[in-house]
Amino acid sequence: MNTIADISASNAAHGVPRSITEGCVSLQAPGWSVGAVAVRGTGHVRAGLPCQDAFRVTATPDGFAACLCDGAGSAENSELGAAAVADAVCEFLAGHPGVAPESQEVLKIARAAADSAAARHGGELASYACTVLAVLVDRNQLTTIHLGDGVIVAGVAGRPAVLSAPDRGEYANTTYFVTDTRAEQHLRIQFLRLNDTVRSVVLMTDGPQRVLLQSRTGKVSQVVEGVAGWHDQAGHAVATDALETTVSQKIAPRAQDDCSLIVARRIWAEDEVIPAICPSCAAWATVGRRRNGRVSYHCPECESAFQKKRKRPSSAPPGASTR
Amino acid sequence: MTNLNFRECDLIDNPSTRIPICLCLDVSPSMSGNPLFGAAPGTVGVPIDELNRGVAAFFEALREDPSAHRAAEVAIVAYADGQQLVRPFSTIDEDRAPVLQLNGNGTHIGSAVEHCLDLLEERKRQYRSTGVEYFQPWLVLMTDGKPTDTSHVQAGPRASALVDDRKLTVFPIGIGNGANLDALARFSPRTQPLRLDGLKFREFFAWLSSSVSCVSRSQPDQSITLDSSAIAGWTTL
Repeated sequence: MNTIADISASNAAHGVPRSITEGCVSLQAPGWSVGAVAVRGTGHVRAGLPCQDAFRVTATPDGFAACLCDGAGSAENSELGAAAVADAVCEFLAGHPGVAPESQEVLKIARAAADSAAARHGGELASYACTVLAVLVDRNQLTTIHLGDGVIVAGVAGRPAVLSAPDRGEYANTTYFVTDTRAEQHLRIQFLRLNDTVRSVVLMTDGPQRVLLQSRTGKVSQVVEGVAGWHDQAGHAVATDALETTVSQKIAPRAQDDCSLIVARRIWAEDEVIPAICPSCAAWATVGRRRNGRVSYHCPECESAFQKKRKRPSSAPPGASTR
Repeated sequence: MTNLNFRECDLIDNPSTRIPICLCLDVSPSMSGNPLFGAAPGTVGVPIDELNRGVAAFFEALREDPSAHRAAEVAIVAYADGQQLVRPFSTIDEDRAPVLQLNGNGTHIGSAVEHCLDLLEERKRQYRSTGVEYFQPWLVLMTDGKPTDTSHVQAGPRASALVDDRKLTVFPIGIGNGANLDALARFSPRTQPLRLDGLKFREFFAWLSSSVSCVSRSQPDQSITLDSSAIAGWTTL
């Protein structure tokens, strides 16, 4: 299994971060604390299969890009396909902030990555089949890219909500992959504006989705917002280590399948003020003035004023104030 | 204070993915094995008894399999010149396998299949409305004779269309020498009907339950290959 030390060593050796197929990685991006984990499913361990999920996260000048791919269980080289596609899509997003990408373009890049993996390692292109879940956060713009199952969730005002829902065929054992001829019809891209109420963005493959998303109602488990909140209590490395342990012990045994998540939590720099909920009307209030360690808020909804103590989590990671 | 933990009760307990399996079984008098009631000459043993033992063993095997017993939902339709729903779709819990009785006179296989297809459609509709995920349904079709009406002319293409659309898997099984495999083939455009070797129902149902177990453990898009080499043990071509 890759450790963070391995990854940083490998990153140093290659000059660029590479996608991870099993293990965890975390980083501080401008305004965001990001962690990603991939845990091999208990079913895969039993069957002697590798972890077929892969992810890549990278900081950008104004946010971060992240991509998570789930290699098809039926495709023999799918872990290589997932790693190549996660790498390529993440790099593409990081290089094109501020523009909503075309689905054709994204698919072309994903397919080219799967193609070159096939050229390197041999085998049919279809044996490199994988899904795609990706986000780009650029200041207050959020781009989501999604093909197949898995889910992208946003924590809005403390509650997790589905941003991009799983898309699969009629049966539980079918979904859509980059190598499918009709992938373009199923690739979904959204270009969203982030307001201050959005405090976390979480991507997950269908493994954790089974225990974190209610299939009938689309309700997301509060656990998703809970684990994102760990970044407020501890640094990204500690929070992500804890996430990896939790996923291995509590989520993967229930899901059986590989379990991967990318968790991004918004952080506010020292001179910024954390948005607060208005005690009268529960709307998100904007800032008034800061004085003697107290912040005066003004609620735009009900016009009421209230004060809060200026408080940052004591264990906030050093360098949190990057913005 | 840092508390990097969550309550496990906050995890969502989605219902397990189901495999609807409809057994469509011939209980016409010839299943007694008695030539006076139309059984093929040379039948050794009592087919209906062996069938009952096979179904009971199937239930037992599913119950003992940790993944299959939560996934498999079995319905049983017994048919002769009419059809009867002996067991509606449900998972195998503590209930015993029903004991099938000889009934009616004739083999209206087509209307029995139509009934099964309606049941499967209804079950899938229920899954969708309750957010239960499911695998492609299975229809196990058994007969020891040939159709005594023309209902298969209509039902055959309906089942075949579903199979071609990958909406149904059909297991067509002929029992003994009197079974008309051509009639069974009308329902199964992809797989050839198999003729059970003697009365090896138990071997067939053991294979079927291990196939259910295999599917219930499969991951998204893992292609499911049923172990066809094992079939050789209980069929004759």
